[in-house]
Amino acid sequence: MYNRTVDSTVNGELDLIRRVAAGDQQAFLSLYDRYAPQVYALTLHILADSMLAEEVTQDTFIKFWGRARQYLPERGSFGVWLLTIARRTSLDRLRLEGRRPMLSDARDPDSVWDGLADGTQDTAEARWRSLRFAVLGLPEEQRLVIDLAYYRGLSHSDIAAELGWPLGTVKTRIRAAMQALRRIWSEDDPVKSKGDGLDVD
Amino acid sequence: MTTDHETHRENLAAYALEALDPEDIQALEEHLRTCDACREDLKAYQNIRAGLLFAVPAKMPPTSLRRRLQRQLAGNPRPLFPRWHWSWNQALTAGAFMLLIGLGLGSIAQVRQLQQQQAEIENQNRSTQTLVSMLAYPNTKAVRFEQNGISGSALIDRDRGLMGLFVWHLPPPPTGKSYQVWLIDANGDRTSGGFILPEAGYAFASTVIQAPGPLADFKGVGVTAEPLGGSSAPTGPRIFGVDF
Repeated sequence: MYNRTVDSTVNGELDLIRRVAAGDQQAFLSLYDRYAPQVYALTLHILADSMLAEEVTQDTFIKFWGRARQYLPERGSFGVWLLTIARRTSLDRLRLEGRRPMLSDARDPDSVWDGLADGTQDTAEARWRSLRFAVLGLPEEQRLVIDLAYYRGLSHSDIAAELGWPLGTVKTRIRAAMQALRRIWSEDDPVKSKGDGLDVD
Repeated sequence: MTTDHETHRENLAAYALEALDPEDIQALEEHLRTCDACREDLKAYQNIRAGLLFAVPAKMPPTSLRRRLQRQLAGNPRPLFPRWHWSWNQALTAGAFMLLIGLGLGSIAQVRQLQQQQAEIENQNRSTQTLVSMLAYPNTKAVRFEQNGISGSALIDRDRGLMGLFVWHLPPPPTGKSYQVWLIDANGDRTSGGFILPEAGYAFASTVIQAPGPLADFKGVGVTAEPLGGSSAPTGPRIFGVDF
């Protein structure tokens, strides 16, 4: 029953993506309605500016409209693909704007991580959303490095310079954070041996 | 398992988050080719990376955004992207197809025009790849500018003597003219840096300029309207400029 529901959702989505690739605007809007809240949330989180987040959300969906044919379902879920585009477009915009990380936000991770996920859907993406709680459970300095590395696009050295921490400390904290998330992820995995094989690059 | 292996393993988490310093990436990627354990770890971290995309609480964008997108789609038949977003195969296939038509008509002028278009596509493709690389390079400096209703950003990579120029609202050049970019040195002397070509129907143009010497020798760039093919020194009106 579960698999049938998931398969039917995925197949429905694939059909919509194929229609978008063929130029179907209604299909495009259906996918927009489904994913815009997640795309906008991610861009807003990265850019910390609602106007820029709107622009980048728009850019993301325009890129999808132009590149729908390039989506390959065997390489990962559509949501990951689209949100990866949104993240990279946001980071490009941050760099274009020449902006440094918004440390006020990053130092108060609760304010940006707060809120409840839609946990009612038993899908892989719903499970990914649950990762938020795992992130919330990390020590503050680990949440901070994850935030700066992944959502602000800073490298090891950038983070060390930004926070005035030794490079070794930054490396250790990123690794510790990712190991903790991996452990929680693995414990929570209903099919532990099955990988997603995600490769969105 | 070697010390090298442990060093690379320490870097895997940052690599998965795309936060590894550029100078460490190549060595890690070489190690990954031969280390099953590290590839397994990386796969697990990549799952976490995907999860982090969804870990931000969803938020509805303003309804006006959906309307804007609808309008944009209605007013722009596919594709919305400039030609340089075509894949190489698409560009070459389209170029070859058009070439055959041109030959069939026996029009040498058409053939030349198509070759020029293909060259432009290839140039744009190269420029785009360079700009993307510059964006990813940590020492690239961005300078914003706004003059005469024209705005944009200059990406300056002093280490490589490269400059990327992104320009919004650059009007089409006057008939018989093209926009030429000039690098300006401390004495005020100008050196041609190539051209920037706004595409019909797009409010955005970009180009990459390779300085003939260290970028530190130059204090800025200026753009002027020059006769097609360019000039050896500026002769036309200044359209906009950027101070480094």
